[in-house]
Amino acid sequence: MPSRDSTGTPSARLAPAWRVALEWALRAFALAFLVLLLLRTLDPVEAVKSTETTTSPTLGRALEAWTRRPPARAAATLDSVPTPAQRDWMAALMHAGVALTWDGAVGSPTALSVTTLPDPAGAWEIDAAAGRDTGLALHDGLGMIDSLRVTSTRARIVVPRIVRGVEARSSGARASAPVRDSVIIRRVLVEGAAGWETRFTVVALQERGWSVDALMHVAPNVDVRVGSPAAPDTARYALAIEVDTSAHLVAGAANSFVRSGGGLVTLHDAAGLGPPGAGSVVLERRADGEVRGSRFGAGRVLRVSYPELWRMRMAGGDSIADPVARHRDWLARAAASVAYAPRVTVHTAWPDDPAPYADLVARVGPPTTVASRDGGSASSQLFGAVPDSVLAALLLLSLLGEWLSRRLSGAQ
Amino acid sequence: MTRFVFCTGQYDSGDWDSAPLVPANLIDSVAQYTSIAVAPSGVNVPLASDAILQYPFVFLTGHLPVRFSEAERRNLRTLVERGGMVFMDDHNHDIDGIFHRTAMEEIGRAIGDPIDLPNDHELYRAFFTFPDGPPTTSQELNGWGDNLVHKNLQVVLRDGRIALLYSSKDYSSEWNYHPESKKFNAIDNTKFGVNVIVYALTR
Repeated sequence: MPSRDSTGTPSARLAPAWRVALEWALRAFALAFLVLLLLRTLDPVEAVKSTETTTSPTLGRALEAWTRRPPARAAATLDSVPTPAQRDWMAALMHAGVALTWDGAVGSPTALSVTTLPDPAGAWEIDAAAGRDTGLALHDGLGMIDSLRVTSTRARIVVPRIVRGVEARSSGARASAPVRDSVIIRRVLVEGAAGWETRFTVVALQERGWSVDALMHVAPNVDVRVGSPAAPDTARYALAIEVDTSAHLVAGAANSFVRSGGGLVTLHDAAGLGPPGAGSVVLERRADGEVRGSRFGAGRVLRVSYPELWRMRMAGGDSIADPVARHRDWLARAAASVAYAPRVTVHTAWPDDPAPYADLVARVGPPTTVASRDGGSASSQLFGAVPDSVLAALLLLSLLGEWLSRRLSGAQ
Repeated sequence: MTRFVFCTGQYDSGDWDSAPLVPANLIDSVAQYTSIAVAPSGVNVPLASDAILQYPFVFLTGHLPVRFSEAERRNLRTLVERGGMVFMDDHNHDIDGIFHRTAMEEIGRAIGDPIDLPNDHELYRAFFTFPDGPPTTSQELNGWGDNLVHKNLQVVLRDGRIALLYSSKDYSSEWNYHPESKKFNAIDNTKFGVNVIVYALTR
């Protein structure tokens, strides 16, 4: 089969001048469209000129519209954090190829966590983050729990009762977290020499609602027993408290108890006892001592070197508000911080949106100012209103035309 | 380890220091029979002072009429409400005497009226066992020729535990001697005092 060159005449291989000019023009158009597309990609200002925009009130409708006809770019100017469903939707559109950005003042970043503490009197720790020096209102299923001013960026309170969950409201922002679990609270074992520290430790824990087994050493072979004290085991005890160095029952099983998840509190001269305290951290410090916490196996150890905690309860006249409660609460917090408490998951009908701002940033990205510079309207400059797809089509048509021209000229 | 300090309460009316050897004698007994860390000497602290709250066990005694000041009454109430224990003994051994009547009025005014303590209460088993209840004193057993035997002690309870123990048995006379003289007794008559202190420290 002869080649095209061998069958064509010399005159047929020569294209007319108008055809050559057309081909050069098409090449120039293609190159121009290519350059334009490249410039659009590189220039964000130019890019947003083809951006579809929306605001918080119309975000829902915009998301529906963008789902039906996905734009290349979209921008939302928000005055509040979108709902979890809207954030999911925005993230899905981004995964589908829509370059979605947002900006606006959505209130101070607010986050919330609710933790059930092992405290027989009932205790939930609410840990909230909000903007510095802003007001924070906490609500549960029955209404307002508390209101406070966040002096740093964190507020923490412990409340005795929460119904279903907590919502934190701060400067137009909201975060909510449900109660996720309840805890199984076992007994506490207290051991030490007969004396005020042992006795008031037992009394304070009993007042708090703990079931206490206690072993108080009065004389050689003479002990006072409260309940039925036995060697600490997580099947029976949530935690054990060594009041002093006489606590041989606890000391004998402390390592295995803590390793298997139990909590251990050592006081005073017993603070050096128990499992190794390597890696411990100072949790509280006063002039007369400190509280150090550490992990050992699956359990936790709290070493308290303050002398005579019972004086917290007895000392002070009317100038100190309710020292009994102060002593009781302090010990309850210490116990709760280490107690072994198996958790049972509970399901409550409460919004689970503990950190909406962080979730928005994680899923859609941080706020950008590009959309605001756009002003929310498309530009009327040259090709500014022409979508990229049209430019790409023109580019392809130019290349196709140029190719057809050369092909047809070769066929003559 | 915290040491137990025996505290005698000073009150303005009457004679709070009528039995000055009782603290040393009881301290000696506690040290002798138990392993409780105990301070070798007691302290005398004004009942009207906030410092009394540093001592959760307070001993009160006297012969004469008792009239607490408002501050004394308030501190007595505070001590009891915070979990302390008061042991009050009538240094007389009469029935319905002047100390007894006035002390009962003051106790009632400060923390509530005392009630009889059953003689099988755990106080009588706190360390030594007293199956018949409070041990009688030599004064009761015809020591003064009056044959007045008080069958029960009185108490004010808080949350089921003894917050104030009141005795008309005159333990103040019974225990008011030098500890060294204990060796001359066939039976140590301070043993019940050990029970009172062990009870205070463990219940």
